Amino acid sequence: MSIRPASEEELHAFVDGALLAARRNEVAAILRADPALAARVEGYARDRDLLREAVAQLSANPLPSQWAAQIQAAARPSPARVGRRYAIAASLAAAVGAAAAVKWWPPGDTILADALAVRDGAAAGGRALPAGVLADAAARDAQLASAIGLPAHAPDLQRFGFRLAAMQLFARGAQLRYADRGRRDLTIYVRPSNGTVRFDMLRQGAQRICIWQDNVVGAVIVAPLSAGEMMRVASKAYGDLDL
Amino acid sequence: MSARAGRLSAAMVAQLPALRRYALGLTGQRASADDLVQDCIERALRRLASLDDESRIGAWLRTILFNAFVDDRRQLRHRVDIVETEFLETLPDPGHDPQRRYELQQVLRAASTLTAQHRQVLILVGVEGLSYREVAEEIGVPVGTVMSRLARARDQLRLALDAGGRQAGAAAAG
Repeated sequence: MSIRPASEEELHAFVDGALLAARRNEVAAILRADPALAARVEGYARDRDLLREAVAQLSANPLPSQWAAQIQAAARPSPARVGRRYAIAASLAAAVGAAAAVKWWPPGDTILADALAVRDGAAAGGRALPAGVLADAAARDAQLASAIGLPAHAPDLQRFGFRLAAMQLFARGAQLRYADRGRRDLTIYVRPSNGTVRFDMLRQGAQRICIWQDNVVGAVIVAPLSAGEMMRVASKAYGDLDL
Repeated sequence: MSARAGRLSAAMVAQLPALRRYALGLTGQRASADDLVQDCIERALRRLASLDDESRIGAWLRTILFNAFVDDRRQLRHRVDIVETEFLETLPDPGHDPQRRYELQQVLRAASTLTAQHRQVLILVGVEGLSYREVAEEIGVPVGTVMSRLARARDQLRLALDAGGRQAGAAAAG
């Protein structure tokens, strides 16, 4: 009895063990009779295994812990979630002069609105740190600590290409403004926590906004970064603040 | 936290390792993969209410991630050259076998030349170990289409590997 030739699709199904037993035996017989075809099929299996190994190698690093934190934070209930959505979007739009695509916001938590107002120069009472103090790490950290009432250190973001360009101090907060060679702005607004533990990542046009707050300190980072870049910057900033 | 929110949250977190592996298979390098997973998480959290069948959360997340990947490729097409050069830097050294390391780099580079759809079936079948039927259900095409797409993808991968090998040989000879 003659065996029906194997189609290209069947050859790949053979590689993946996806053929029924009877047809698998027939294709195996075809390959035994055709060494060139058998070599091609072995090559497909080899390439597949190579790709699998390469991806496994790349996967060796631990997952960023922020991912799980972000998912778990989103699952926490917020009674004000639905009712405040539009009012909050509207107030943010007013604060930054642009349409804001934001999600829910806890009542009474103004850290984002405050951060954006400072970033846009709309906040009153700020004091810019003189260039001489800014260049002196110990002096500027002392000023930062005094402004926010916490022993903080200005994050070093040079590994991401951002250098500290300015620092503005307020009664209970501070904004650190960084710039890179492409003149992109990155701002970190930092102030004492109001006690709401949270982590959120928002996007507003080209700007990505990361908000995190623990029991001690809250911070808002705004910059035209990808989500992954923002996560790395936020991790570094959180570590460097050293609270 | 509602019971459903808690369940979905735990299920999403449990899917993260596989989701990043899928992203690594699609992008071939870590920074882009992590960006992609981050985008996927944000999109998924916004759409969580639309997930009808909780048992399919893995496929649901992969679909969101793949769509984000296609969107990114549209936006970042001009950065392809930059992305490709990163393979050499991101792949760890597997022991002391430079030949193996070279082969792994080459297969990532070769896979990066394939279309998004070809990479998708190549990774779902070859790396994630999904059956043809599972892939067909996930991407919404007949099983026959998955099989023919996979056949073309593997042929394209082999061609790209051969082309890479010839270029390396020419460079070594030159």
